[in-house]
Amino acid sequence: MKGTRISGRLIRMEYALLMVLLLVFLLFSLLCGQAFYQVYNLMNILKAAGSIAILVLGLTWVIGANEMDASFPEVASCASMVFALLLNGKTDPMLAAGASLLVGVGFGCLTSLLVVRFRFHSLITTIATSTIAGAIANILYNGSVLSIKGLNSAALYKFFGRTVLGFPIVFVIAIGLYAAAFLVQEKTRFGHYVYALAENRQAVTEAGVKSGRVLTAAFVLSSFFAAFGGIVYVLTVYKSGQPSMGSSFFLNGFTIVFLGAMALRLGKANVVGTFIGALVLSALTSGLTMLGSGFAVGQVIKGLLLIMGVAVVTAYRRKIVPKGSKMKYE
Amino acid sequence: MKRYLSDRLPVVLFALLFLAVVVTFQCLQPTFLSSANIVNMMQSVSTTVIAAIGLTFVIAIGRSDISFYMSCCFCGVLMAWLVSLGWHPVPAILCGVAAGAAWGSVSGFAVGKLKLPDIITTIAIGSIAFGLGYLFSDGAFIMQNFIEAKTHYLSQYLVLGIPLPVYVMAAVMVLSYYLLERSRFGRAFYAVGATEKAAYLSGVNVNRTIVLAYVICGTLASVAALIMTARQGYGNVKIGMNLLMPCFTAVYIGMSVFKRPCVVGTALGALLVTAIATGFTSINIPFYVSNLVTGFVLILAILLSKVVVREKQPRMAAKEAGRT
Amino acid sequence: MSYILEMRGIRKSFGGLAALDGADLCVAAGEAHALLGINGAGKSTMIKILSGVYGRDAGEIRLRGEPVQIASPKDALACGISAVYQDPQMVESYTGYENIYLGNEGGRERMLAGVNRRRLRTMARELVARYPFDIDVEKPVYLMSSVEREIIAILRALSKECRVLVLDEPTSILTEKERHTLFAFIHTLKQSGVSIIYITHHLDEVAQVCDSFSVFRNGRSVCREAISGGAVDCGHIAELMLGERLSQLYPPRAGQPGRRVCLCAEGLTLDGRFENIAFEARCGEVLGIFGLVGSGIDELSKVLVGAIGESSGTLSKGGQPLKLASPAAAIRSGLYLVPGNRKTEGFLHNLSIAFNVTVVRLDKVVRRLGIVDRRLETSAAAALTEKLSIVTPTVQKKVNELSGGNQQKVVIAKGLFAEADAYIFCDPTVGVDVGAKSGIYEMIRTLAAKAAVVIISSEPEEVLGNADRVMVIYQGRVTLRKDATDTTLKEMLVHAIAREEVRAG
Repeated sequence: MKGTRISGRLIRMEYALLMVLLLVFLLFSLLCGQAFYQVYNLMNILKAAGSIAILVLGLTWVIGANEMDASFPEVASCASMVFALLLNGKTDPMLAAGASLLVGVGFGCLTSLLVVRFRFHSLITTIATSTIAGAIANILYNGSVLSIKGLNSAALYKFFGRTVLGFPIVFVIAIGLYAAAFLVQEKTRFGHYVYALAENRQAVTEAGVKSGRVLTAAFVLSSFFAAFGGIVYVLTVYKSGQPSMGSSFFLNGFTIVFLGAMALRLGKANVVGTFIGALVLSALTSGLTMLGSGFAVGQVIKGLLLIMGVAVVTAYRRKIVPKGSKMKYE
Repeated sequence: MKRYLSDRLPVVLFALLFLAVVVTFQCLQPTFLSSANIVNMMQSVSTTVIAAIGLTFVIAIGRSDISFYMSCCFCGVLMAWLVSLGWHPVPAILCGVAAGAAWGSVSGFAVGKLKLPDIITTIAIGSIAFGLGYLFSDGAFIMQNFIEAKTHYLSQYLVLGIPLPVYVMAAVMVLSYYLLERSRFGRAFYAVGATEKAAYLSGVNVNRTIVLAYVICGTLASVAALIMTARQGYGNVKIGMNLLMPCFTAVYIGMSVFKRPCVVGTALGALLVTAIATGFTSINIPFYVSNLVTGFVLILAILLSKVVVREKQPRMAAKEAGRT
Repeated sequence: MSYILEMRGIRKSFGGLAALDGADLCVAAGEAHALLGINGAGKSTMIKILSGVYGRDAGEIRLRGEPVQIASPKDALACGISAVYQDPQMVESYTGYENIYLGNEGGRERMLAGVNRRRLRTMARELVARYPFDIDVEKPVYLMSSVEREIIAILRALSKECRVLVLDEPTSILTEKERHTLFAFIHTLKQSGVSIIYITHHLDEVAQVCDSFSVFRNGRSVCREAISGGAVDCGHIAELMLGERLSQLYPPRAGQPGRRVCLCAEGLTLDGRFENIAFEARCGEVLGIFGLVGSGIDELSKVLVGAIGESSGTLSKGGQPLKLASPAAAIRSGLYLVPGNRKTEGFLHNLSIAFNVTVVRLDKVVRRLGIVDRRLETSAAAALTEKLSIVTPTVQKKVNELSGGNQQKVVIAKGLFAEADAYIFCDPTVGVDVGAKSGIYEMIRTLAAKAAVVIISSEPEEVLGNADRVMVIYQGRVTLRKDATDTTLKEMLVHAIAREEVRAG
């Protein structure tokens, strides 16, 4: 009896994130008035949401598989620097972007080699790879911002400045990527195994699944999309290589992903939730900026949202774990 | 004999590595081992050691803390703010340390009592602390009263030619060594980190131990942040942001040398990390290059500790342990 | 009679110790065959050889008369042999059909190959139609009852063209009603021609579902008999399981029964595990509680020291009621549990013998200021290692580097160091060789001179050999309560493997 009542309540929880999104919009329309709803501002929110959503797409599955990747912000910085450096060296922009993405894949491979093959703790590993990525980002241009000459005339840059039906192209790209990712998550073996691994690694391994491959793919994708996001930020926001671009992504990324765990697949990081989470966070940032409230308020609110997401994930895990005779302290 | 060798091998390796680092930098920069640079090194090693020893307690109970390097920023600016209000530095320092303990207990409560997952929860709590730190000055430096209050004594006052932080570090090391490795209370940390259920059935108060470890970590990190704030001469909310990596590296180097998280190992690890960092600075290579080296050193340290552990556990035993 | 599966003369030894010494196991098509034997008789080794987890040293396996090689779990599956172990591993939030076909979703094995859930669902429904059973395979597993989970696990085995199905104690966590559901399903399986090897400790189940049984003892198969008329002779089987086993391993009992009641439990109940358990343990004697795996004895041992919550009933020691607050409180009030699962509950990994032994009562080795006196600690630990003849160069050696028997002795040494006046030993000699066993038993008897000792064990011999009074628990209830001199192993075992109706019949 009790169990069904709880699950009933939790099923309604799956819409909680949409409620939060609505609430954020409602709150800011009350506080900021008309300005918040101006098309310009809304499009800016979508643009910001699209960029950060691309950046944390891969991270979603690492968290979904119950692993940890702390290196994504620095990988993004590193990719942005590589991209900027290559552009300034007169490389073809597409080639430069490809090379930067390869850098991301490289970091993903390093992480997965250590975590999957050598069984390192993923947190410590990614703290190490994150430091390495950050160091390389700094070394590339002596730790300073590398502005890109003649970026305004590059076709790639112009492409990212365009709009589709009035929507910023970054947002459209993000929607496309997330639609594809949704299919991968829901319809392929990869997605099927990622969430199975998070719940019961032994069951998956005993069933003959090569779980190492699934984890490797997750870590590589995480770094790949981090690099992708880094390039997007160069093209849409900074117009330069930023060696310390990552510092703001750290908390934002985790908050988005864990907020996302409150939607669709309750208690599990998933791409639909992440996308909504990115919208929530961008709306929040925009509204707070409009109100003129400082960094502090934003940081505290994000921290609280992150704890909320973690609490939901934990509550959900406790619910589905079969009841054994637990000791009192547990 | 063989066993004796395999026990001592990591220590010898560490000593050789440390020697190699020192000799290399001495060759590249003859002032590396000058007394001025050694004092400088001792100052910066002291803060890393103090914060890393706090982290050692958390690693000893088999958890991680990602909040200490952010919550200590709060403590640093709190002290600076109180000094700027005209407080005497001593109560300001005490308030800063108390704030560190408070943030540690928040993390400890969330992880130990509410059983939230350690990594993400501490990231969130640390971020909140960091955000609140901004409230004191909105990210600007706090400089009022600093010189008048002689706050810099905390980092620069020389006793017998050795700066005060080194004494603080020594005191923290001695106390932590006795608490963690010699006293009856320290046993609980290792017991919880080893096998939680067995520790509980042996009469260890598991949850209280977890909370305590986080409190110690938060407190010691705040001490480190206060010393660094005093050294800078102004309150800066980003004071602790560069502590995360060196502290984790120090603890893991210590673990690969002594096969368990321990005070001496952590201190040696911090010494190596600082030697690399100051060495690069002394030959005018910026900090991020030394970060690169430290990152690889961390990976190497874990690799080494894995090899040592794998050697000792027969495969079947490892398999069985994994199953249970 | 022609058998579908024949295993003959199987031998297997681990590190010189023979686990199987020429054992046979034969199963006919469409029959359920019970595999019986007490702990350590070699049942699980036999099954692991059959399912390809272990290789065999000697002997042959024939399938439909043809010799087959089974070198890996894959080979076993290819031969149509599947095993469902106790507590099958599931992905809890996935549906039944997703769990049935986990890792076997069809199509190519690439990461981006599609998972056609509709197809899996249809396949699962067809599977259920082939072995009719009322189960909703679309429900997530965490919402399923224990028996539904068990059936999902069995369906997973059946989905791989299974002809011989091994069920390892499938009922251990099922309620009475759920058992009958499972039995009905097993009957359906038999009718569709699947052969079943059924491992259990419960003879009433054997009578209900099996057509024949083999008894294993000391690594040998001692008989293969058919069951006729749905009844088994419990006494006969108990004799076969035990053989001439009671040896000179056990120290003499106390001359006269103890009088002072030290530990007294009344009406102890833990929901779903055990009910209304009462006992008195007197100073100077050993109380033995016998129950098979899954009977609730392990939980009972933990409730007694307050490690598991939400139990009701009272426990008092020396007339003072105990609160059952926590193991720490139990140790303070002089009650110590030597836990059963040494790897997760007994000792601390990667820490030394001395650390492990003294952690239970650090106040005994502390000088001033709470500092542990290492010399005191070493000498105390060394004294105990000598007393228990633990084989180790020094007390600084890590416990996980010792052999199983010595690990267990360290766990017992912890108890001795606690200097309690009431002890609970849970399975004190699991995985311990004979020599070490008698040492441990003597220790327990010496201990009993000064303290109340309760041995909770799933080995009948151990209980009868050591205890002055015995209690038997079956499915969480006390089924027998006698003086050790008035009962026999056979009687105890009979009360631990079957309900009263079955025993009477």
